[in-house]
Amino acid sequence: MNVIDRFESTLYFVLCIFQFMLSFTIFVAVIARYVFGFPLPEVNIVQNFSLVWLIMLGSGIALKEKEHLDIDILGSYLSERANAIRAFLIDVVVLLAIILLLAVGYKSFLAGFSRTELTPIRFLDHRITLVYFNSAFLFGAITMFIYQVINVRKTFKKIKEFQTGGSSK
Amino acid sequence: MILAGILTIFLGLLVFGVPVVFSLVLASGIPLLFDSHVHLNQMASIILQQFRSFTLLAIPLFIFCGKLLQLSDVADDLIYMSRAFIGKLRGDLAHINVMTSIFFAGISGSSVADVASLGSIIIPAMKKKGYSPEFSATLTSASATIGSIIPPSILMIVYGSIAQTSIAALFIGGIIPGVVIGLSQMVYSYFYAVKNNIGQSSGEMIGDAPVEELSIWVALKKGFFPMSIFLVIIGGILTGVFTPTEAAGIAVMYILLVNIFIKKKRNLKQYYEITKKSVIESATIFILIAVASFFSWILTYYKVMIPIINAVKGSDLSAPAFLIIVTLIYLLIGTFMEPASAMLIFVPLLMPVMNMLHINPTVAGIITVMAIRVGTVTPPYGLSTLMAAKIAQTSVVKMMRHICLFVGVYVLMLILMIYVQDIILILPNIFLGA
Repeated sequence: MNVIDRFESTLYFVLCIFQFMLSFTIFVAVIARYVFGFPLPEVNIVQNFSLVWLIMLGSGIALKEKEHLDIDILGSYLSERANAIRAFLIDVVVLLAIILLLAVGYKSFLAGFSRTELTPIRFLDHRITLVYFNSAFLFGAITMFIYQVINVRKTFKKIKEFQTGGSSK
Repeated sequence: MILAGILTIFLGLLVFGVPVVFSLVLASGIPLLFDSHVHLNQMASIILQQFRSFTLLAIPLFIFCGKLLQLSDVADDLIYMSRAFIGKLRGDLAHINVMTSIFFAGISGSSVADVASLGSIIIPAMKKKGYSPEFSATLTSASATIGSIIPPSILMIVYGSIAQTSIAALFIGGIIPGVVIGLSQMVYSYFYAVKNNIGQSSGEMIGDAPVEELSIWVALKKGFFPMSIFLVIIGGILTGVFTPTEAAGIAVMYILLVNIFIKKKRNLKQYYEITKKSVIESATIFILIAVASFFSWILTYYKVMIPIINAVKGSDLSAPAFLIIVTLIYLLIGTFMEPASAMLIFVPLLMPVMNMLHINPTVAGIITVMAIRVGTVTPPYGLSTLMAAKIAQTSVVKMMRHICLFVGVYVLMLILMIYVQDIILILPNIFLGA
């Protein structure tokens, strides 16, 4: 198992925990409010945290699995070779978009230090900063970047295979 | 000029095959380069704002619900229940297909899950009985659209969140239209069965008992668990005990507990695998919603809707006429785009006109969801159609005749609802008083 595989299985494990946390906290909040008459506003923080990390890191894995939604109109009209080149170009364009997301993520990470969570936590005498929330954007973009670099390498290799004697339609 | 660049880049990248979410990121990035009033910080805060929406939190939960249900064999129970209710009606397998979709819609919220779970059981049985693979696949895909109309519906949550419309009203309002669409498909199926001289099925084809031996009592017993999920969700929302998001969380825990303690599904590995699938599906939909919110903000910032409003004002269009035009536009857009992202981009543009024409927000929401969803039955963007074609071992091209007919019937029903809006509003008026 190489580093990337280990990273991926750890990531999946963490994401599954976030998914369960989301469901469980909502359930607990409803029960606490209606059965025990004891609202738990702090649960919102756990939910926000779980959701943003789940989506941002999950988007990285979705890139690796090629699960992001697209529209394939040109695919059936192009030769295999042309499609390989197109796949490479798409991956490069996606990489550019992720670089933009990295910049946005960095900005939001910095902004997280100067903003505080609106929901107070009862056992803390101060409000926590939004770094816990905003940093998900940056780390999600980094995860996407890692997987996309791997994708670009793969599609580039495919083009090379065509150049070194692969078949075309 | 900047706006033209945004739209050209977005459409160009989309056609080239770049995933929708990254096409949106790059297109929305244009103003960051050329407009000094748009900053990276704005992009960050608008995108992150979506992750704090309690309403949208329901999406990953309902997706998880659908996945958990796949573990609990509810598809078999719902088919049994539909068979028991349909009895010996001509074209029974087609009716069972539609009725099971109606029941399934009430618990899953995902049309593709509907096709995957039910299609693999019903399509082979329909083919065996003499229905053409094309008809069987198209009916399965078309009946799956009901999943987006009958609650819980992920698309309605997205719409409610964009248009600031009551999701409870959208949920309740979708029940009758969903049943009407189902009935229209059953009528079409009946005539198909008569025309092609297809009789009743023998029981062993899709279950363990012949039709004569099916018992309504057993059907009700089998249907208790899936129907109780629907009742928990809708009952909880209607009585005001919980919001749609909380209903989703309760439904997840309920299904999980029933799976573990009653259905005795205790293989942790299976839970891990479906959670992984659920996480990826949630991530791809949610990130799209988050990024599209910034794209939509950009379009609003450049006042794209002003020419649309002026055109409608100038043409003296009535509300129903505008809704019909919107239906056709959404149908076309839904053909090419994933419904949630299409709504995120176009709903904010058309909302001011809907408000100007005093169109009821619940009616606007349900018509929008229905129109945009039926577009996904047709290629090229038709995930459920592609899946149904794969199960039926046919091609989407061969299915086109039936697809056009089903879409035609669906649009006629939509037009009926535009003119008789009580079909949509009767339940919200009774239960929510609005």
